Amino acid sequence: VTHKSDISATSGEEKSFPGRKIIGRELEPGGRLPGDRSLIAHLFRRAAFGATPAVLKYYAARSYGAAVEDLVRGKSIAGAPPSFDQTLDPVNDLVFNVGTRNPFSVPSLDQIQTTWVERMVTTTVPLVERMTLFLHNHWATAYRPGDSVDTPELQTQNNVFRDNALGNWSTLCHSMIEDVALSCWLNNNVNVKAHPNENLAREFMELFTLGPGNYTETDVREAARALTGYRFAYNLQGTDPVNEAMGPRYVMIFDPTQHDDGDISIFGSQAAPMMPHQFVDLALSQAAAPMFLARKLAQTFVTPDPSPDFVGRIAASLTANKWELAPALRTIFSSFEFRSEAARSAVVRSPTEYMIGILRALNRTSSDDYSVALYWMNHAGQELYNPPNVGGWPKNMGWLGAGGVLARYNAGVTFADRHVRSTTLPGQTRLRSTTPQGWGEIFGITNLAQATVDAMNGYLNDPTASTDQNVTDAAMITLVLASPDYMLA
Amino acid sequence: MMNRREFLKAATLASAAPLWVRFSATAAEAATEVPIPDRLLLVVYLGGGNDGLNTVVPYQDSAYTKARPTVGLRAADVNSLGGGLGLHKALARVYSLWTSPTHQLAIVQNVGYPNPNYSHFESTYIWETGSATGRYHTGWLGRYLDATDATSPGPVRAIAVGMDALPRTLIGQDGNGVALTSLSDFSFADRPSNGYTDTALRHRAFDALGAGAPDDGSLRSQVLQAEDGTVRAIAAISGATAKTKTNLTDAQTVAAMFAAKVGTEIGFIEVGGFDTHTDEKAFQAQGLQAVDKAIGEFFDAAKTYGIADRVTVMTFTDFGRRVGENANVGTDHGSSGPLLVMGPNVNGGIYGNRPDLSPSALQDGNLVPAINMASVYSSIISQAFHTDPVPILGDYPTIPLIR
Repeated sequence: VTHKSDISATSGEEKSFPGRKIIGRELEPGGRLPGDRSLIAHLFRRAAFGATPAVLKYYAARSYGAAVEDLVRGKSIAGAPPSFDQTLDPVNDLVFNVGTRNPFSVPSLDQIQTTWVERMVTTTVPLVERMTLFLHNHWATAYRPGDSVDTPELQTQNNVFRDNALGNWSTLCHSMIEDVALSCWLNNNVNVKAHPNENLAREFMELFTLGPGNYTETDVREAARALTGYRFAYNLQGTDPVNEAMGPRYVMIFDPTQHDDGDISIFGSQAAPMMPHQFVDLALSQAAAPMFLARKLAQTFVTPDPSPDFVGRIAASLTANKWELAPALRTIFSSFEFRSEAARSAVVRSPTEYMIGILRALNRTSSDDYSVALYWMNHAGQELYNPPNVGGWPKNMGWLGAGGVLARYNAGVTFADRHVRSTTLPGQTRLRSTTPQGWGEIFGITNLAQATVDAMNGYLNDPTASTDQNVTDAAMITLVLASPDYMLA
Repeated sequence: MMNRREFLKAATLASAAPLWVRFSATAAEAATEVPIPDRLLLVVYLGGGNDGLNTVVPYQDSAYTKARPTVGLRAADVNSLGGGLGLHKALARVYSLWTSPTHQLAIVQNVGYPNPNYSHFESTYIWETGSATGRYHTGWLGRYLDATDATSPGPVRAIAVGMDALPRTLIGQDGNGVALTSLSDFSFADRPSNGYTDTALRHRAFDALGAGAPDDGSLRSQVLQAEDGTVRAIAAISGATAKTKTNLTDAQTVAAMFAAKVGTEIGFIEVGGFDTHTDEKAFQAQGLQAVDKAIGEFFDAAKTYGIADRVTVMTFTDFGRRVGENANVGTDHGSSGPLLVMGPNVNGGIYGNRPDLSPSALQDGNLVPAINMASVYSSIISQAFHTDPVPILGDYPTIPLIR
């Protein structure tokens, strides 16, 4: 069931909205929207796994525009609690490097998952991690160690996503056709001129750059020819096995003798020999390319059903800025559409966003917390590095089958218990609130629905409610996390 | 029988505590056993696009051997169906249905839809909605459930096992299906047996989150509806779990739910690994063995639960595969393929003509589909579920697949 946003239906109002003229430009600090707390909370729910009260307070004293700028420029989020700076040792230093060459020290899937969860929880540049997650879902590649899509290759791919998260889409697309994990996942490691393999060519156009309807079956066959010639090989450059930072253990090498150097015509181009990177440039030169990415960004960050006008403005930013992502994200977060009431609570948090939001809010940064979060993410339907297929994970209501809802509820129960049972150091007090609204703020929600507040008060005011604060606090956390307010971003 | 929303409204009116509806309604409803439906359908989805020509194999066709010098199967790789056709040997249990005196296997040949789409997602969407024209966006069985909601009782009418999200096939307007990974995981963590002293109070408050919410189609109301469905499913499934052993496979879980008297009449499971662009012989054999095992487990479990005479199994997949093999000992995305329908009520046999594999008969190297998937679906809806398929699928000729 497609959720019908009313953004597209309110174009009449759009014109009269006073903030409309600032679309596409930086919102000025101290300008029209100084520190709207509910708007800042909305921004952080979408772009940053949620705001803590400290973050909200910091930007409320400055401006919404300042928060957008810090996020899209990848600047450290000011006002973050101390544990959010990365002073903690990484869970596993090894896998922060671009894959190990030592076949005996290949990390487990669990290790690279834990590493990423830690990064998402402790990052001070949350939009980088949020975009890395977006890119993982977009170029969805799954753990298949038997087909050389093993943990070093997935970690390498993840690092490429992170490096380009606020970078350049064209650069990323060019990197991806030589990415070992993606190439092996989509059989481009066995795509030779005698017998082209269509798998990468098709998905590159359908799922990665253009979308269905913007290419023909002939284009698929021709693009497969253009992508011939890559081969999977050991990385022979830099042979020091101790220095793992020197490079990945495998690379895709281009073998001209296996490349189809005959004439190729795609999208009606003049028939001529075409190299793989020329195909990437040709695909990105199609009018559909900026619209395709713009629409997916809008659906992810704003609303499932963005208006063509809005998508067009984001696409125009991508085109004008030669595929730079940061200006497009600035356009999105500055837009009337994003700031409008219609965009509030308009997307369902993915299981990863759901869990990471809990850990960031409750300051849970132990490796044990990460394991528990991973357990519930898997049960809620999202195992990192193992998307169900190359199309990525479900979205919105697709997450909320009975199994998904139950896993979220039980995750809330579990982390509520971990919170109220955790020991505090002398002089520290445990994060808590005496009101439902205060509990909402702890989880980055400034305006809990009245029904949610009433339900929580119904619990607190019940004559049978426990006098043990830990019992009632755990129930309050469980209820906030089970509410539609938190299920939605 | 009223649908859930009507039920909840009625429960609200009848209850002295109108604020907290969901759990009380659930408890009342879950306590009532529903008769096991007469016909029970298990859908097995072969994820990735199973190669139909290497499943129901024209192994004596020279056009086949020519198109597939290395990927092609030979007489030793199949069990004969007669007339130069053979069934992949990995489908041994399925083959036993063919040879059984009651002839319980129907094979519909060359099933697809006009203008084949070679994208996994687009094509699977078409198969799941039963519409190649974009007429429908809900699943074909989801629409069947919607159409019969008023007359069919039970809190969990359809179940998808081994997955967290409901497959599109089962998605309708009224939220009749439940997806779950396994029965044993399906309970609230904050139950008294886990040491919680405030379970009832918590769950009443959880219920109250939806109090007074308008059923306006907003995302918020959809979330509340999903939570409502979850609560009902948990109650129903905890009832079902009490009657079964643990560690059930996906297929056995479907059988257990069919027998649980909660109104379940459709099950859905997936076996993956069929996108055989490379090394097809090994990968497809592995996948078909898993399908064969699941189907066998399902029929065995159905017998144990005493529902063997009511069950039917059908398969579908993303698409068939290209007639000619590729250079990686595999095949690329294609068009139509055979569809299997099995069970004691099935009229066994081979339906439809064998596809013509001569190069001139192909379109871009692919089969030209002969039988519309909607014809097969219409046959199931009318013959197994005794429901008019026209409002659900449009007007398609049916095939006498089921008695």
